[in-house]
Amino acid sequence: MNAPSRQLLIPPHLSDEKLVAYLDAELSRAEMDAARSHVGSCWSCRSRAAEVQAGIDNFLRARAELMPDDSVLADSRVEQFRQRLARHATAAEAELPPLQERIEDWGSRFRGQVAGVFQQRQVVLASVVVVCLLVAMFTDSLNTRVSADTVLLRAENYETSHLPEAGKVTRSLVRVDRLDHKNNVQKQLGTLTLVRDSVSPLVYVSARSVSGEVETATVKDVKEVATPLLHVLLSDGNVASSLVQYLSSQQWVPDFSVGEFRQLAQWGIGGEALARRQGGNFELHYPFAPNHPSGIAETLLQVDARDYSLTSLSIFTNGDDSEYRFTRTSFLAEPRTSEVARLFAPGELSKTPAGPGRALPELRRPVPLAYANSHATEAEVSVAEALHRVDACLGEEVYLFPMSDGSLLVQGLVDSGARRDIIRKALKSATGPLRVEVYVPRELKNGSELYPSPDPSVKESPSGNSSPSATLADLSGATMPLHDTLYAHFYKPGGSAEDVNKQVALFSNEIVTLARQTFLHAWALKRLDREFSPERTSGLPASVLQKIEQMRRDHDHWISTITHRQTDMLSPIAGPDITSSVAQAVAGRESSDTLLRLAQEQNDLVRSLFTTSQRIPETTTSLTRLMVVLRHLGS
Amino acid sequence: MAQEHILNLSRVFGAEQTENLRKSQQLEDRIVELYATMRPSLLGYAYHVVGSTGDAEDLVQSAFLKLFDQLKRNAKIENLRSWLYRVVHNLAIDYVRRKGSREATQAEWLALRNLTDTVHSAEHDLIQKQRIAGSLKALNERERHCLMLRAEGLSYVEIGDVLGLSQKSVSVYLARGLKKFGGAR
Repeated sequence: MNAPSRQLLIPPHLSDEKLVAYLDAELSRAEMDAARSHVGSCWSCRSRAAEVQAGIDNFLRARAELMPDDSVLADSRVEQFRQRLARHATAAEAELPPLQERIEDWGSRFRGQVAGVFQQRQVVLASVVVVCLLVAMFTDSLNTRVSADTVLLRAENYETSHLPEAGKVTRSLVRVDRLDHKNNVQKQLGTLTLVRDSVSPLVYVSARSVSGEVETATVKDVKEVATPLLHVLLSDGNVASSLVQYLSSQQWVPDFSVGEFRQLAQWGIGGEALARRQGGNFELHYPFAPNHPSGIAETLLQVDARDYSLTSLSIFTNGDDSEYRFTRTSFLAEPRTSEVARLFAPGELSKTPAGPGRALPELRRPVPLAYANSHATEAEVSVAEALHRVDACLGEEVYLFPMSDGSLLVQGLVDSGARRDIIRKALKSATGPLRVEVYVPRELKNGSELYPSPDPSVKESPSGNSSPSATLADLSGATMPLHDTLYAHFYKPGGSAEDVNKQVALFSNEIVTLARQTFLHAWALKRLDREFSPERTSGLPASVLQKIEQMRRDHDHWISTITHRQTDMLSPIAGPDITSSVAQAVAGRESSDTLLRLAQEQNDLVRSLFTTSQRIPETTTSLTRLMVVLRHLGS
Repeated sequence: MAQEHILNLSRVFGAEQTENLRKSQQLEDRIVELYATMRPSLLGYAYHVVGSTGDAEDLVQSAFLKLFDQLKRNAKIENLRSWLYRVVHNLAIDYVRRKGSREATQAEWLALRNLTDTVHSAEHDLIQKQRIAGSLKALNERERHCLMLRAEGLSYVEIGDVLGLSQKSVSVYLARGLKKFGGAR
């Protein structure tokens, strides 16, 4: 008798994929039956099946955690999609018939005519050469031919699909330039900020001229305030008054909506629109009739060929051969924070639309503007410099806010009245409209008096960002990781243990303080970069930019000096091996982001090595890394 | 309920009734109806690939515009659900690749999103999300896509159809993905 096979005696366990497929009921009927009976009788496979099920549950939970909010999923976009589809259907109708049909059509026509001319071969050849030459002379064969209307339709699709989602606002920044083509001069005239709300049908607009003139309003329709906006944006003396008058009379606003551009183009009626591909953009030219009362010769819209977003809009004028270029420098969706929501608060709504020549209705109370929404001024730099001089940029919760009415606000929380006096005194010399609201903790009711930081990305102040090791803990079992090394370093034959321990404590205190100072300077540097970014400071005089650069250099200098001191202190502790191994690890000048990251890392490493903690780090590795980081910072 | 609805619609789009659907308006209405039904799950999937609801919404809508073009041309679609997921998947992958080096990669996105999304949430949430992002990073692209599609309720055949894989490969990726995900937690 043959011995029963091993497989019959001990049925094989289910493979991982079989097990998963079994739980998903994705096996064939026979396989399902076999798997069911095996799992029913095998502890091991039943336990694995439970593990797989737990894995599935975990995955589903994780997926749900990372899902967007229910409000986003539930938000009905059906109507918006219906409109998009309708436009798509219309555009598809208007497009040419399929290629195959076109080829057949050409083919049949060509066959009918070719017989007639075939005998006159020389004439045909000559004609072909002439046609080719003409084509080469008058067209750019690389240009993709599209109709201006199609591009505009697609741009409109992009616009409707980028309306602010629930709980968000969209913010666009538009830069206005005048390009004098006769003298080849470009000059920035101003910037326009538009914030569209998702909760209310309101738009917040703010126009700022380079000379510092500001107009802001919250309105339902931007057209209501077209005149004052245009007067601020085109306030430069060289702008043709006929242009400003015409655009104002038509209540036209460069709000980068396809609708506004269509309107502008329609007033011209100077001939057929021309669309052509130029690099990564489509250019749509809409000529105006000769001697149009506005003085406009042509308008030009640039549309990004990848996604059909509008990039710039230009108005060319006849008389002074100028181009007025409106460039959208950024278009972002951002959370509707309480600061943003304040822009659309019912109390702030401008009730009366501004008529021509009337002042723009202002917000009742100025509100802080985010950096992305405002341009730096000379006054702001001088206030920042005053704060810098008294070190209010080093970790204190003191912020400088550009306000919606063009004024400045210094607001914050400091430890003591004496410190507040120092800050107030420093700000006395500052020029321009400035309000100072510096509190000490006991004066604050619930903290709502304070505005959030003007730049959300550096909102976390270092005081609230201390590393976990700094928190109070039960230190009964704790010890300072480098205590023994330091003790050995400071030990001198004949000295008392108490003295050596005192020296160890002094050394640790100093190194921890220095590490924190390095971090604070790096943090201030990062804040400075955000506060006075190239976008915010473009157009400021060189002397003002010099002041900003000097503040940067101050922080750089301190980072370098302090880290050198740290390195000098640590080298004897680390020993020659570590010191020489990190000697080459020197990089070039780092960005403020990298500096901040490195500074944070050295602060954490120093805290982990030189303060008491229950978690003992691997000291040699940590010390080596610390030396490398300090080298980077000090370079 | 939603499943039945889809099946009914796919029957509507069947060959026998395409005559009726030639009228563009009717077709548009059907597409909008289907969009309203399928949007949440397709949006959820696209969001996991591209990492932004705005872009995910745009991709999902683009997929339905493609569906409109297909049906307008009387093209046959065997399984409407996997067809839609396939188009959304391809559009999303194209989108991520196009962004390429210019923007954050998907893995970086997971990390980034955990930092930016949790500005207002408690420390616990932050740790939790970081852990999840870490576990998801342990998966490769195929495994993650298979698991996400399975979580959307697609069968192995449908997942294979979307990703261009055999049924067998799908089950291997799923098992491996679950193991890695469990092990990384």
